[in-house]
Amino acid sequence: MKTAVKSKKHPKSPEEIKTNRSFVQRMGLQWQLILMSIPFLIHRIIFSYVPLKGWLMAFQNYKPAKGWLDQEFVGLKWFKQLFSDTVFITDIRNTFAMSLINLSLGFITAIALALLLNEIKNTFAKRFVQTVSYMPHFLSWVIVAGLVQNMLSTDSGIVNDLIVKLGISDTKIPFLSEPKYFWGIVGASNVWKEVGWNTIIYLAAMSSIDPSLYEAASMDGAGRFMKMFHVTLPGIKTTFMMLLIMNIGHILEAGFELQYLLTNGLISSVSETIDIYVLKYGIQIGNYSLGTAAGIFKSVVSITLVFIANKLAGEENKLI
Amino acid sequence: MKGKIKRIVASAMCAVLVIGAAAGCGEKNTADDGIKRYTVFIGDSTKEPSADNKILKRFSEELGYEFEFEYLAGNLDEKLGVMIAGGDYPDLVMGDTKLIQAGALIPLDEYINEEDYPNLYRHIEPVKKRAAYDDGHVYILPNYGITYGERSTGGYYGPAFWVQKRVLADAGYPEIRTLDELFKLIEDYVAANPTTDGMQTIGYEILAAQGREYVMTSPAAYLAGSPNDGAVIVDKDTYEAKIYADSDYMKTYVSKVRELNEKGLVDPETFTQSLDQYHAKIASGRVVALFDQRWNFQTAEDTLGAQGMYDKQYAPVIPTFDETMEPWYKDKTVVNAQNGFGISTACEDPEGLLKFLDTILSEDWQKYIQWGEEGVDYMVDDNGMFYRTEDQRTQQSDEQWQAANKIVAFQGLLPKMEGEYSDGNGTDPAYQPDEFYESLEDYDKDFFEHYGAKTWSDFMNPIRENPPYYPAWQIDLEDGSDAQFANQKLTDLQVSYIPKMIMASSDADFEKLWNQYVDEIHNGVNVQAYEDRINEQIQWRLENWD
Amino acid sequence: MKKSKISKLKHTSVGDIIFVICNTLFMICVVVVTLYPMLNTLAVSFNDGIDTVRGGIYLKPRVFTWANYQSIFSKGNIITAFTVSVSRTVISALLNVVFTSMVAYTLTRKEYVFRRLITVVYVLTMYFNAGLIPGYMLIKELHLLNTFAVYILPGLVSAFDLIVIRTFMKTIPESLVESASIDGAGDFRIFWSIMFPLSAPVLATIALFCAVNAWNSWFDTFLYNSSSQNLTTLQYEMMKLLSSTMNQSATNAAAMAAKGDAATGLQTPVSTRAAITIVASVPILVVYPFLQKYFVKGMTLGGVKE
Repeated sequence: MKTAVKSKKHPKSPEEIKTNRSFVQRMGLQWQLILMSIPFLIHRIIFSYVPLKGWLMAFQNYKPAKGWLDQEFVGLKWFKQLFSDTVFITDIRNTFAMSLINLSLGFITAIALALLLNEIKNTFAKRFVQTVSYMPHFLSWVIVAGLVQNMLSTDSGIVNDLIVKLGISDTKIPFLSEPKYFWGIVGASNVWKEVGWNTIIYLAAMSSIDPSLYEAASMDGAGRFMKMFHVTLPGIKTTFMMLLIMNIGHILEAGFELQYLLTNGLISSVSETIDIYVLKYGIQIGNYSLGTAAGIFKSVVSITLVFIANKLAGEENKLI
Repeated sequence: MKGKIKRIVASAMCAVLVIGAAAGCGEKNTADDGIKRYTVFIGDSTKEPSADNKILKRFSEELGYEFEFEYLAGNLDEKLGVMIAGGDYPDLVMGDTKLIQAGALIPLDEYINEEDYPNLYRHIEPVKKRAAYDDGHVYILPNYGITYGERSTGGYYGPAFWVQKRVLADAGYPEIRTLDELFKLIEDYVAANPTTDGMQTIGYEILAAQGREYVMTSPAAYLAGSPNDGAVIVDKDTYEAKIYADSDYMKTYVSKVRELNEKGLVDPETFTQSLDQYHAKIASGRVVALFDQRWNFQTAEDTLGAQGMYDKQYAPVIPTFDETMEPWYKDKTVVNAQNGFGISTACEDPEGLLKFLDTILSEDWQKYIQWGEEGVDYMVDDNGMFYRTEDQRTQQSDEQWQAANKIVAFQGLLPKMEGEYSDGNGTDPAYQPDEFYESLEDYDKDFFEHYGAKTWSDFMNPIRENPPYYPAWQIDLEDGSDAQFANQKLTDLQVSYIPKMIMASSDADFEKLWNQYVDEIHNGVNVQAYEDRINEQIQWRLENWD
Repeated sequence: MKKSKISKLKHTSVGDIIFVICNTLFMICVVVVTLYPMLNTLAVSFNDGIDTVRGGIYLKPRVFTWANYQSIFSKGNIITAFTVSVSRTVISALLNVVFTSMVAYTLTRKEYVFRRLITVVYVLTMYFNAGLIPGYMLIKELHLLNTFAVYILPGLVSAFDLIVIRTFMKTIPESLVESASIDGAGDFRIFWSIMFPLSAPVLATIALFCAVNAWNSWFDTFLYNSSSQNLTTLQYEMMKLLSSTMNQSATNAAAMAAKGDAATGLQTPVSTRAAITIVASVPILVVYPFLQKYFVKGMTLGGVKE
């Protein structure tokens, strides 16, 4: 059904004209391709799809001691409980907002850093900066959160010391007790930890850009910035679009540890995410059903968004 | 190049197959070469013993028991969840009510009798009812709280308000009876000493970090003269439990701290700091007073001690709201029910395991496990009393030494004697009064003298008989129940409102927030479900205990 | 390559010089900011545990000690854990790169009948998760509990890697495939001798991602292999040191403290945590510089292409 829609959309490529044979005939011709992929397809179905029967839990009052079908069925009880809890609704908002901030900041900073790294001509210097900038990725959030807390402290934190010394403000700013700063802090911490790591994929994409394109641009008298905008950026566009569509599906994943570690009572109304909610009211109190219900909700939202994004993306950028 | 990659890939694939095939499942054998082998699940990873551990070696050589330990990192609830779902239980497991509810543990009371297991019987029989689960069976052998004799430990690690010794010394070693007196003491001291070693002196510190919410939420109950009953205060005559989060006690405590904050005496960062930052502040020596359980900031006190800043370490004070109330911070040791080891239904030879537990509960083995080897780990004086030399004392805290000579994690869960042995020695150095006093610094000895104390326990309220249902905090809330959900909600509300109320800039603001808070408790939390569960259990205990 | 050097000389202008200076300054900032956390962790890891509690350690230890590392390396099973970690990292990186690129190649063939089915099946897996218990039960039913294979099998060919490689392969000119096809090469030949080597930059990236992923995993050890001492991983052993008393109830903690035995062991000292971080991350940090040469190689291949 879907293939029919698709073939209507894009004009016949030579392959399609050539392979205007029956499905079975084509399969016979493609036996090598089938051998190369179908075993893995089956493998993936076993490991990712078979356990999905566990989603039944969301409609049960699940107790691990009993078998799958001996459980008490409760219908939509857990979904109702989730969506009648104002805290959960707030958590959806927080998750969405922080995720959006992380997503946009993540893309902008990674591409900018990759572009600038690409301009360094000295190979050693380039590799050195790359290697150093991806180091924070390997520190756990516990360590990073500890550093963030120390730096933002009003007691002896370096950020507040600078703010006062530079005269930006007369008094120290209580960053971690005012809700308005929290999303920004999370965004900045994420950039700090992940920017170097995120550039890797763009640098790989840049290294595969045909050098003759740069030469041609130089011939036409293009300067450094012209080349950046007209050669490098278009060269990584497919990578960017691919990551964008994939990440749109992760819009309800704003991370969990950092928020969990940095939160406190004064800002919990903006810091709590869906995952923290599930931890507190699900896993920690042995309520697996509630956690599963929240998981299903997230999956439905994600998959819907990915399909929409995929539809909107141009033909050459389609994910699926 | 390509050939090389191919070869690597091929050998990698072989490796997967070989390793996958080789790692079969290790079958449980209880008896084979005469040695009994058991698997042991310990839900945390505190101080694993080394392979050549002295005590484990003796278990093997003299008793014929060997153990394969599984120490866990990560979330215990998650691990228990899959353990129960899969039914894969080790023989000896760290007990948990989840396991009991799943029917994974055997009822030990049906096995333990005087004839076969005399030591276990002596140990458990007097507290059997208190150690029992809701259905009346004992599934888990309590790891702490079964005492011999009336002796208490020299140290005190429970809840109290803690004040720096220099502050009390400065004020002439006063007895602090009320919260007002305590806050006045703080105010006066900070006014006279605005800085400590060049840093600003902090009057009062509160911790609100995840998992340590009790530091912020529980003082009101103690100030009201209630013993540690968790989130409820239990009426002393009718034994009816009510939450106090919305009570006048809570309101009074919070508003008094608010006044203290208005005077600039509460650390402005107090609600946003992490546990590490909290420790760092205490370790800097500038925090005058706080409420906590001592074990939670012990690390910081050790750091102060290492710098020789004994006067900046803490002494407990036990105020109440007014003098008519009797403080009840320290309780009589309670049986640590539903904590410790249980034996799983998967264990083939539970009798063998019980025999082991029985043997090591004999006084000789207890002395060996808790004190060590005579002449090596401790000495005996002319009166037959045990003591440690300075060197023996210091090596106790060396981690590598511990790994080779102690079984800290295992012992933490095993049933044990606490108090005194039949020869008058304390069951371990903490219960040996002279040993405790000797281990004190000179500063402390002098400080103790001013209060006429010999141990930290002497600073606390005299021990009273616990109420017959006590303690309510031990009451288990069933997983996934409304009561448990309500409990979590209540904690969340407190964590989010109490800081705001304390930081409120005016009385009117405070009142407004308080009303909002109480309103949310009454409308957003199923308090009834929570209180019902607690009361139902209290009634059950009143009928079934003693 | 040769030409680009010439053009670089030709275009040196004032603007360029300003750009290079600014860029250099900016990169120095990046290095300082991102190097700081690592150096700080390093400094703390060499500082005395009791002293560290006071805080205020930045770039150099105040009271130097090796003790934090000693306590880590005195763990009996550290060698086993390290060996298992290295094996799983190497094996899963290699197998993933080969298998994922193979599947990715089939997805670049527009005429392939299962192309869309495979894509959809894989892409969806990125957005759902069956949950802890169902996942565990599957592994149990497949008899993979307490095996090394459980470190490799479930993660083989992941959706993300597949899409990344496929996207990259699409940029390789189809003419190359077509001409090979006319010469009579089968799909397997085309993949192995043309697409695989031409995808070097992206394969290096994916190898890095897989290696880092495999190295950093501890949850699978926790869930599936925690009772097998000989299958433990470095990360899991480090987790054990980190979270030593996370699961202790407050009463147990108080009781243990009262006994004096464990009073100081109730929270993992900050310094030990730092040392653990260094031990757990340094071995994998060295992988990237090694892989970086493939990024450059891709460039030359790209130039040869047409």
